[in-house]
Amino acid sequence: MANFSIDNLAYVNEHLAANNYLNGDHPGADDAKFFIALNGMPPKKQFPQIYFWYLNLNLFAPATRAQWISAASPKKQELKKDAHKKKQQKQAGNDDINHFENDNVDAEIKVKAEQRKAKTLAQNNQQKPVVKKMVIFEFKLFETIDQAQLEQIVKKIKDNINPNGLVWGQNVDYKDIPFGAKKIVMSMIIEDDKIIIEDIFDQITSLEDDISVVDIVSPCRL
Amino acid sequence: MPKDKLHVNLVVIGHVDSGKSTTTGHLIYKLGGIDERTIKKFEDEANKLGKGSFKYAWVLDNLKAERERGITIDISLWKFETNKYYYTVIDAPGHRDFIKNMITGTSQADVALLMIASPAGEFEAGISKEGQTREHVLLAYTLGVKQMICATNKMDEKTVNYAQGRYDEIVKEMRDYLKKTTFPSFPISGLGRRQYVGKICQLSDGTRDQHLLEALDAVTPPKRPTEKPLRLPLQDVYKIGGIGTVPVGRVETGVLKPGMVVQFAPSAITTEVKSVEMHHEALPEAVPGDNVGFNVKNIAVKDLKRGFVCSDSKSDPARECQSFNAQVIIINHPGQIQNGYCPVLDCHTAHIACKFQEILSKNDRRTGKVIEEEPKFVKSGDAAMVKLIPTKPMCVEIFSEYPPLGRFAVRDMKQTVAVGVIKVVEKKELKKK
Repeated sequence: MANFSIDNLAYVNEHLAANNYLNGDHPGADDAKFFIALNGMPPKKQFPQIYFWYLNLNLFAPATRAQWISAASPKKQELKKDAHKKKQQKQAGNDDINHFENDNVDAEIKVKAEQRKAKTLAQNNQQKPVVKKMVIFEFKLFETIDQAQLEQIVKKIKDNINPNGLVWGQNVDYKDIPFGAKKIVMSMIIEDDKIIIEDIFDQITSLEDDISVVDIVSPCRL
Repeated sequence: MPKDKLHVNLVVIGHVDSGKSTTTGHLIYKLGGIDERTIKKFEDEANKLGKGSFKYAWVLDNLKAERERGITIDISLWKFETNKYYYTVIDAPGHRDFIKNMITGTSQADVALLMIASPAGEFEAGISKEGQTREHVLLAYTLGVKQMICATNKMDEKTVNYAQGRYDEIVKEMRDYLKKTTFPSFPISGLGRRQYVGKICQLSDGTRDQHLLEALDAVTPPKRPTEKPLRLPLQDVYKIGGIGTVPVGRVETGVLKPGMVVQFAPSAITTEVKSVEMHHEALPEAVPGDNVGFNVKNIAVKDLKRGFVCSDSKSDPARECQSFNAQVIIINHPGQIQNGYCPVLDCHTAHIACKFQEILSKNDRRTGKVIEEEPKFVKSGDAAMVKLIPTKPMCVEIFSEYPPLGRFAVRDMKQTVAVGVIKVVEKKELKKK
């Protein structure tokens, strides 16, 4: 499928009119490579199909796109993954509001260990696609019914627990439970190989005295 | 939406790449779950660019991409609705935490949907010894899933091309296999990858085989065991200002009413229930499946905790157990398990270390027939009858009497290493005061 080059946009446009992606039904290495090669939005009027395809690909995280390439050429993937990780780490460093300094150090060590782990994992089975799960979970707080306080705790969790391979869901639900108490329903998207759900729950319960147990509502494959 | 539809939990099982996620995606997409505006947005985009025929794949891919970044997550995402039932989908077998969740979580599965890929090689790989089909079916069966629907997928694959012969071959093979695990019925429908599941596959012969949606409607409604004695494992206990002590949990069997004198196990405290609430409303009675809180008299918060079981003091009250015998299937343990092994058991809401006092016998996983008496050790893949002793007071029940309190996950190194169902319970005598 070497036909997909930026010198031949008309052909690609035609191809995309009949296919969802360059690689067929699902996005793949060609898509990711072409996306990089384009280096920007294609003109909408001239190549509507490519434009549309571009918007779609743009939805995926760079790391996800890098994985498609990885299936075809494993070496490239590692470089990219690492680069991406460094970026992420930097971001995390800037964005974090540190409630607990110690936690942060631990987290950093953990991230590093995870990186090493991920690297060896990647070397061991480069063909294996990254499996992502969406986990919806809930927890309750003793004697806390004040909305602002609940939101504070959610913020604290999102700020403090940020291992590699985890993305917090944006939406948070505060549900009524009997006698006026509330429970918090949250979600996270995790990479199966990097995250152990129990670890995250342990971190959540150790963050706040008031949280006794975290329960999974549903774990689902993405 | 009529309120009288029953809730059914559906677990989707099958080998890798048999199309579990795609099929659930289709079901949820078409029958509920996803916010209409979101679908409309993506559909409009698709149509605008003449991609109408790829609409489903398009919308699903877009949704997936958004979800990966934490956007558009609706808690009700994994639900859909058929003519007769509300379905909640449990779709994550193979995940480390899936089995534990299925055993102890709110999501005990009522029905299993087994996905089978029809292309040459894929089906065979799935049901081979190494394939996941057998493992999943066995687990579902062990954990009390009584009904199963089989769906032969990917019938549109070039090598299959809706061939009647291939379909019959798979049906026959599955029937032979499933008979051994005694699943009574299994309607089958063929699905194409591109088409929405609503299309009836051409080769359905119309008598035995059903279309997937019909099959989902045809399941026997799960029984809610209201006639049994009350069992309510506590999830949490609160102290709420002006009200007092409020234990919270889900009614598993029986009914809970205000005025009832309840007994808690393992501590054997009795008290009267003042009121019962669900969400924010007082209930005259709570039935199985209801997540309720109830207000109790004269009990301090510290006297109750997660893992305790609430029961009716007048009708087979729950009691602390001395020991119990269980059939255990080792699914994922790196080494050998011998007498004295002491992992943590998750049984209903309890989380307590229990000792493998004695491995009584090694059994055939499917028939339960004894292979070896008093084996020295058991390992992954084995089934065994084991006598267990909890290290702390604990309340469990026999699986056949109170299923939710009679099955457990064995946890070690943060993994589920085994599952078990309880066959015999030796209860402690109540101390007479």
